[in-house]
Amino acid sequence: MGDSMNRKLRSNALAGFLFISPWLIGFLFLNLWPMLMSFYYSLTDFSLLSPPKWIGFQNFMSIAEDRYFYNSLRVTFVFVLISVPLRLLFALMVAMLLNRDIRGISFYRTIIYLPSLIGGSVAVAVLWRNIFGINGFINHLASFFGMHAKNWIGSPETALGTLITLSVWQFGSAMIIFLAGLKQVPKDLYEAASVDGASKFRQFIAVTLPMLSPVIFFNLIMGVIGSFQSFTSAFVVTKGGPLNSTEMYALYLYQKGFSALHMGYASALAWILLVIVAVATALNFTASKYWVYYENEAGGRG
Amino acid sequence: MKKKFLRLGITLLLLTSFSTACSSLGVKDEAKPKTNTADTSASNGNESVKLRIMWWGSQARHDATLKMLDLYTKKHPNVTFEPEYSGFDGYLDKLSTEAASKNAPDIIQMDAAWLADWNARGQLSDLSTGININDVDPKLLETGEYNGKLTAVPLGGNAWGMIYDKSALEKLGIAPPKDGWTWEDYFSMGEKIKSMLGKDQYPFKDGTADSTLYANYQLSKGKGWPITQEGKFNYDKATWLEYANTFADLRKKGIVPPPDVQLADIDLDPTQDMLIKGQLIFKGMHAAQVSAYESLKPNSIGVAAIPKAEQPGGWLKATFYFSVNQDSKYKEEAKKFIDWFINDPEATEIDGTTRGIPISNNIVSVMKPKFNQGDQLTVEMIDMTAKSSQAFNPGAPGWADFGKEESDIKQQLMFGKITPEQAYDELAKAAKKYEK
Repeated sequence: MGDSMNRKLRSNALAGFLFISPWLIGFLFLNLWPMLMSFYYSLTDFSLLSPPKWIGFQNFMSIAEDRYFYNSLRVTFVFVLISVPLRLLFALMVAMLLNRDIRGISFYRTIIYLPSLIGGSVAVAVLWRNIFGINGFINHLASFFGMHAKNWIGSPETALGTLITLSVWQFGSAMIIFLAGLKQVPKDLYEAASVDGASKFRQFIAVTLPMLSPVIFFNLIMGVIGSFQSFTSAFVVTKGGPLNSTEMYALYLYQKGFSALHMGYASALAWILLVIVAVATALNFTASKYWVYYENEAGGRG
Repeated sequence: MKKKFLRLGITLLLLTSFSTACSSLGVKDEAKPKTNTADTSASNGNESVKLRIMWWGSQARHDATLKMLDLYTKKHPNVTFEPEYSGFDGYLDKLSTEAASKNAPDIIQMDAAWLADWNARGQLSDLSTGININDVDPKLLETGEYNGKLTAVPLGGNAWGMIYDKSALEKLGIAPPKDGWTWEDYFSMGEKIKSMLGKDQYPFKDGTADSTLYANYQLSKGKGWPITQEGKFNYDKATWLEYANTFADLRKKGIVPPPDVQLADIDLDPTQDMLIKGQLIFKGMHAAQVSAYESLKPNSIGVAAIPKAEQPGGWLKATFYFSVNQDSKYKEEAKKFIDWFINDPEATEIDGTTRGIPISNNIVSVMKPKFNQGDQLTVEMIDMTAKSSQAFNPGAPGWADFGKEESDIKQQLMFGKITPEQAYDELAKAAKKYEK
């Protein structure tokens, strides 16, 4: 009897592996294998065209002295620290507007979400380049207010700002998640609050925010991870210039790997980014203990 | 959460790693024995052959090349093509990636600047035999040789000179630049023109961050290339300071455009090119691109040589080259095609001057009477430059990365973040890493 049990367990396990095999194979060959290879490459001098040469930690030592590395780190941190909170704020505001009970609200929701379907694409980045270019729409507007035409993407002071606005404009997916979160907040909490005489603003602070905090947390994590790897906009709109003021980490990594053909160096950069994002995410999780409120926990923290 | 990152974070590396993985799993070895058999069977000319060919260029060049490929297939029904073509942006990235996965095209359009590195890695096959090169200028041919072997066949004659808005100059009543004009002529003409132009119009761009124009300047002063062919840092400090200060002065006076304005200028983009939009009079340019300007601004383009000082400032060069991939299965067929491409009157007539002046002198003499306005301007610029010119320097091998630091430092100077002296020191410091 024990024997047949064992056989059954084993065949169950086999069936289980078979069922997840599409994912498993994908993970092994498309995730794990390239990751292991990239770790190996990070310890080599690899030009793509000749076989990799083992150089130990030389790449990491060169990176430590590479001023473009520090520049791209600085640019990326500024981008993440400004664009993520702004985008979340914007997404939340739009979600609250779209959470009202007015006629035709689903129509408005569709219209407002529609641009997000093409949000991260190259086409939008090209459009952005034209809007903020020297003959672009923004300068036409500016001329009405008597402002001098300026190449927004060609000035070191404003170039990163245009990329941040592009990132904020891509608020759609965060907004949808916020909207779903807002719908989950029980109506009776608001009723109770208004009976107690709380103003709309007070209701937002005391009811909406705590109830929404897990959703905010989720969006924050996704936003931070996504922004650290931001590439398309910098690649298409500004190519990293002017004065490297928009040379984001992922863009620098790409240039090292595919333009300068230092694939080993680029792999090392990729692993440093992995560590940075992991640390940022861990910090977020630690901090979340102090501000994220889950409904099923007893006693509020909010 | 972390898994999500892992998947996204190394997407860029994933493709390469995976393709390398494939080759180490034996795909690469499989292709080897085929090479020999295909080579011999291809030469009898009956087996069907598919040649992959890759080039960069403008729409005019794409149209002409595709027409030529069709014609070749009509004449040799067993040969068909798989073309890959694009603009110059990203061309080398794509080519290198394909080469890394042992999947580069059979016939590759190459730039002079890449030849040293590609030859050093042995990726280009020997084209010394099988292509008729008797009508090609031996000096240009030499630029495609490596260790005595021809690995790159030049496709056109080219020169580095200047174009200008002829009709705008006429309207202002300014005489066009004369043969043998000097840098003093150039700068003083700029000051004179600016006072007659509108607020958003400029005689020429700020040359501070333009390394080509600086090379012209230093060469004309008899101080050689800023980075020599052998890979030595050769910026002449006095010449550099003179050059940088001249432009700093012009920038202060508003004679050249402010940095952000001129960064928006994109060559040959109908909505972004300042010369085409009438905001710029002079521009440094390759002869091979003149006909494209002529077609975008008909009857108003003039050409000139680069200004000189004690010595000439400009140079002649080959536009670019065709090379055959060392891994190609059809080397003989590829050579036959290149031979036809540069020598056949019908083929070269289709190509016109989209690749510069045809490389075969025989073809040029046949075609000359049929040249249109743009072609004639191209010839004119080459002739003007040919009167006295410098030897072209495609760049020292291994210095490709220096270009990024160089333009970065010079842009800081242009935006007024550092002084010309500091720029010189930084350039010298950056170059240390590349000098052997």
